[in-house]
Amino acid sequence: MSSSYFLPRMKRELEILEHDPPPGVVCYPVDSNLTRFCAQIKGPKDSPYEDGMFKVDVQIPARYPMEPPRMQFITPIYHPNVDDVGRICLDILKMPPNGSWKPSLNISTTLTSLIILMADPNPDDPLLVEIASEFKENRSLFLQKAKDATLKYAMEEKDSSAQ
Amino acid sequence: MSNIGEAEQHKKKGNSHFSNKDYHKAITEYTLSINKDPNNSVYYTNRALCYLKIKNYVNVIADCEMAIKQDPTSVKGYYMLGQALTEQIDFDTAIKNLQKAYDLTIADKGSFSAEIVQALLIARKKKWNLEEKKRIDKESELLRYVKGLINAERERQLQKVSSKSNMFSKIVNSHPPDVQEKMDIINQAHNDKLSQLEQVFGQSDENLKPRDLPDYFLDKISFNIMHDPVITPSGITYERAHLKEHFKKIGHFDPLSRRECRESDLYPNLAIKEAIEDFLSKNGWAADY
Repeated sequence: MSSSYFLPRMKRELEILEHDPPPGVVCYPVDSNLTRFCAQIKGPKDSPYEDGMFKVDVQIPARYPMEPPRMQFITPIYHPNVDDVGRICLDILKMPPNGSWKPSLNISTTLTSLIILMADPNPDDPLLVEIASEFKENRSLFLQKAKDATLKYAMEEKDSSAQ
Repeated sequence: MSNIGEAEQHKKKGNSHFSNKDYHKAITEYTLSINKDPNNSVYYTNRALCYLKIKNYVNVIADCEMAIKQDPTSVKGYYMLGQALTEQIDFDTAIKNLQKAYDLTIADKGSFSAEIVQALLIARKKKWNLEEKKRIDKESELLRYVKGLINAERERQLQKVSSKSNMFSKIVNSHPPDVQEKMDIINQAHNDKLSQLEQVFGQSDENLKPRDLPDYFLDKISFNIMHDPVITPSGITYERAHLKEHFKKIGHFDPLSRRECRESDLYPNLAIKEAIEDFLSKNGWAADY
């Protein structure tokens, strides 16, 4: 059973996501008990993900906010800190002492950190070593591959809405 | 069987009806318990809970008052009394009783302080909404009155102009050329006054003000405004009930600093409590939103 502060807390979080979401993000609940959200993130400008729309699955654990939300890319993304099933390596998505999640963070601030990670990968703490070394040693090849992946996977919605 | 034994039997039956959500049958059983043993506060609070479920608030209030009479430390009695009074729009008494329930459960290390805090915030918010509605109604009444005065003055001036022009036309047998112009000026002047008036009233409307709730008034766990703020040895302030639940369910450490922390390490943060009270007296909408 979830804690007595879970619902009031999620009510507040919904309000933040509705009225003051991070720029370029739409995030809405996909179930009625507020344990699962869908986030759509616009690829940051001046990054190889620009113009792409990336879907992220957000799961809220029963012990939230004492435990971090679980986030996973649904849309494939070519990025040193995201693996091929969409798992994300980001410190605030992990509990201390290895991570830096805090209950004063929230879904909105976590999504903001995710956008920053997209714009500015962290090759020193990679999930996929090959992409990380490519990012460090052959930046133009990395950018090309990331752009290609964005075009291939993250543009579908735009195409369908343009028709 | 003794009366007390029989009363307990009926209570057990009542409890099983209650868990089957058959509140009317549960009420019948609890009533039998009360008939056998009228001095046990639990029978009254159990029956009150049934009445609360079927939204019979008058009976909730009566049973809670009986329960409190039998046991002046009945947390449930004060808690449900407060909830029922909130529904009956008697917010001041509701808040008083909920605060009493909160104080009792904290002193007694009771377990459902978080629910009581929530009920308190809801009662405060509803009270504020009602006062706000009254204020707006009063204001629109005043607005209507002043608008009436302006329109009456407009009529009076128009009348004056037209009666003058009538006298003029009787003498020279034609309309003075500038009468329409004069009337236009009068109309324009009064329309300006009306729109200025509406602007002034509009500005005073609290609802148009941006509703900003400072983050430092919010509990870091629930993101709700704090009712009983306590400070940890790390200097971080939380809602007491939520922090206690964290200790119980997760562990004895400060959720933000992760330093060891127990209930005995907590101090009430009276300064922030006063600041919140002051803020709420001007921004009652923030109590529960």
